[in-house]
Amino acid sequence: MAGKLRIQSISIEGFRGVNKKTSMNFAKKSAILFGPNGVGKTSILQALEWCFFGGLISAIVGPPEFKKEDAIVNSFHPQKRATVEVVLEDEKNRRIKITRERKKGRSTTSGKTKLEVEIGGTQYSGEKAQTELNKWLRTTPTEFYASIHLHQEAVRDLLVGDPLVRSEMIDKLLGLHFVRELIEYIPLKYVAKEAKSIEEEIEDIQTRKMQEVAISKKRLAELEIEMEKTGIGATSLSVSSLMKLAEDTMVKISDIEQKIETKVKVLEKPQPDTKSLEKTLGELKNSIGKLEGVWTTAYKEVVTKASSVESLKQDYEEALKEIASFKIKDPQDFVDKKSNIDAQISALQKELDSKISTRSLLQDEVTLVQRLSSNVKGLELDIKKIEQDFGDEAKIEASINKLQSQIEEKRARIKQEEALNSILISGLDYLKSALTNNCPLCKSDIEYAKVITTLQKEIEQREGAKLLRQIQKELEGLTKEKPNFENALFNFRRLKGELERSRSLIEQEKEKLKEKGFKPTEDLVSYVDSELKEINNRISNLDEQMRQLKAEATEIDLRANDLRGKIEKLSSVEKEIKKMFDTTETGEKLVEIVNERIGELLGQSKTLDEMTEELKGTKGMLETYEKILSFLKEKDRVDKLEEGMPILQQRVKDLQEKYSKMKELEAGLTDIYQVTSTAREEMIKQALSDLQLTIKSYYSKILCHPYYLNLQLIPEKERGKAIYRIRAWDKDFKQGTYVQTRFSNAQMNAVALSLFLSMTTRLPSNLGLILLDDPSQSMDRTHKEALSKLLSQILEEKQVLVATQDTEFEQTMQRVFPKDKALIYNFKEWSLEGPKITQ
Amino acid sequence: MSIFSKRLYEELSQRLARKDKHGELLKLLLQWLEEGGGDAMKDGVKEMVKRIKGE
Repeated sequence: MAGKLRIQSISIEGFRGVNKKTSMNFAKKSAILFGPNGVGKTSILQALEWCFFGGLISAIVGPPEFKKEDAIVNSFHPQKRATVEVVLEDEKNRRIKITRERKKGRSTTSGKTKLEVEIGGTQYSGEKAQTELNKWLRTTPTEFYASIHLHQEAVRDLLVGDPLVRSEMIDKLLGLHFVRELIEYIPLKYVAKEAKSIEEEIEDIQTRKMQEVAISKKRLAELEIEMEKTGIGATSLSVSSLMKLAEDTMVKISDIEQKIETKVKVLEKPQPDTKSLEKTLGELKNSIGKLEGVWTTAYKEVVTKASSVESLKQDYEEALKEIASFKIKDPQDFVDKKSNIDAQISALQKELDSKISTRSLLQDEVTLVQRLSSNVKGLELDIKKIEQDFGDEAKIEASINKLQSQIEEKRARIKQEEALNSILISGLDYLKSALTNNCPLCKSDIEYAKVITTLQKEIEQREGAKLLRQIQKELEGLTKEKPNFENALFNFRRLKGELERSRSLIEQEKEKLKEKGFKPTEDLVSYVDSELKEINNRISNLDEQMRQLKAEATEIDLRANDLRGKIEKLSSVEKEIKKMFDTTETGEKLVEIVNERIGELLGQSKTLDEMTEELKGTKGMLETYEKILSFLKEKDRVDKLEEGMPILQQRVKDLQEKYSKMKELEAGLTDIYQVTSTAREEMIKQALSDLQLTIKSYYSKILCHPYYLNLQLIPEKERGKAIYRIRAWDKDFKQGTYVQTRFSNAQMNAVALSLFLSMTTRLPSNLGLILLDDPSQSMDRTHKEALSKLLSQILEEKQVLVATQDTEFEQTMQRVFPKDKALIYNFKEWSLEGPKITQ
Repeated sequence: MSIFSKRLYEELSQRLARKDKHGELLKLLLQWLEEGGGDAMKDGVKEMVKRIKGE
């Protein structure tokens, strides 16, 4: 399979951006696919990938939307079918024709593709076609993605994608992917776990199952000794002995059946094996259980009946005794006696009502008479007081008259005195003014001076003696004293009148009482008091009599009810007993019949009591049976265990052999794992030292960073996984940096291209092909020039297909690429039919 | 076995503690890797375990 394969031609229909059939004849030459964005250049490159491998790596590692629809088949293709045909040829013109077809499916990754491969005139299809194709290509899809087809997004993935994916890829390119897989995929833990599992099974058999035989044998011997102690000797511990015991128990059960007149089940004799004996045990238990049930029911029935009859008898006798205790046997006698008492109560009630009415009258009289009597006493006292102070009526009248005459006398005297005073003062005034010596009255001569003096003296004396005033004072005293007597007289007469009225009222009450049959005495108050007391006593007396009679009546009622109850009870019990024993007898004769029946029931109960012992004995036999059977079963088990010992020993031997092999495998894998781990580091060192030179060569050709002139792949470990990091260094390898942190997009692109092209040189693929999709991203003119020159060198050895929309880059490539080795395809525009391509 | 696997076998087997015993196992592992990758190798070892266990 010498010589690299190149693309001779490609024919595409219904694939992604290409609808109408489009063919391109490269004739194994390199090509520039030039045109604006979105005219189908990438579709041509992807068609190659899909045709080789049946899938697109970008659909697997790309966004999830790829899985939501079929992104392979062109939506406008009339048959909804994608077809790509690629013809490859190697240097010896050996030809491979690959045709892949697909109908539109639900998603990009679901559904099948149809593959046909023709190699040297031989046609292959299906899986066989893919196998043959793989052999020829010697490239996996991932390798194709990493080192043949540089996608637009691959630049990003190489630098900023998952370091683990990148590192796996690099390992493959370094020829270390088997080493990586040996380390990562050897299932050491799985093998160790399986070895442990076998070891545990051996231990389980040795420590548990094999020891169980010895322990079980020991326990069986102990059990035999215990059985001996409970009276079950070694001779009884056999199947035949147990069969004999089963038969004896069956006979016993049959006896009991006859005695309690029942039939539970016909029991069959057991076979001479523990299984049959165990079945018999169950049947015997069942039969005894049923017999016990029948016996219990019968016993309960007899005991309950005896108890019930005894209880009835006691009730009957008690009822008879109780009725006998009543002196009156007929409740009607109680009724008559009660009627008599009721009549007495009625008479007493009548008297009581009358006495209560009289008492009410007397109570009113007492109040009235006491009030009148009290009035009389009060009035008499008041009159007596007036008499003491002023005397009797006549005396008071005399005193008033006397006072009246004294008053009049005093008034006359005052008048005289006042007139005299007036005369004296007037005479004095006259003489003083007239100064005459003639008396104005009698005209007699007078010495007015003398007279004046005399008059003045007289006036002064009279004033000095205060005579008039004295008389006036006396008049005042008399005037004040007189109304006292007049009031006394008035009150005296009023009191007298009231006294007479009160006395008259008392007399009227006396008459009223007489009319009502009373015989009032002079002292009416004492009389009515005494009468009231007497009536109260009588009323109390009547109350007491009535209470006693009522209590007696209640007692009679209670006794009468009691008697009726007792008679009813007796009647009920008697009726029940008569019905029970179908007799018409009553009283003592009935009791005799009941006693006879109780005697019979007690007899039956005694018979059943005796059966208890028999049942107990049978159950004892059954217990012995069970113990022996249990022993025999255990013996069977131990015998079987013993029989199985050689099998167990053989199993242990087998397992030990397996364990030994498993440990050997584990040791081998561990050894290989350790050796590979150690070797890997050295191999990486060696491989990288070769690759570094290639990387540096490409990196310097594409125009590297002005300061970081060297690129290096650094093997590291991240979370237990081996990865590579990309670092850039200055010319002396003193100052280093991760390219992701410091490089511009164009510089990063240059790094990615350097790595990609370096890896291409390492791939043992049979495809002499490099596909570059928009490789000049972010580059300036100088970079583009450098890249074009580099590619022109590569296309001497490989077929290079470059897709670009960059006019400057396209023109540079046209200028730099040898004309006979590179074709130029212009992608003009895109329509629903696909791109329009001119050459 | 491919030339690549053969070279790797020689490289690793020299370092094995017991090449007589584990060399054949290494060959097997490399063969599985070549045929089907890491998963195939893992499945191969699991198949060996099954055979030892007699399953």
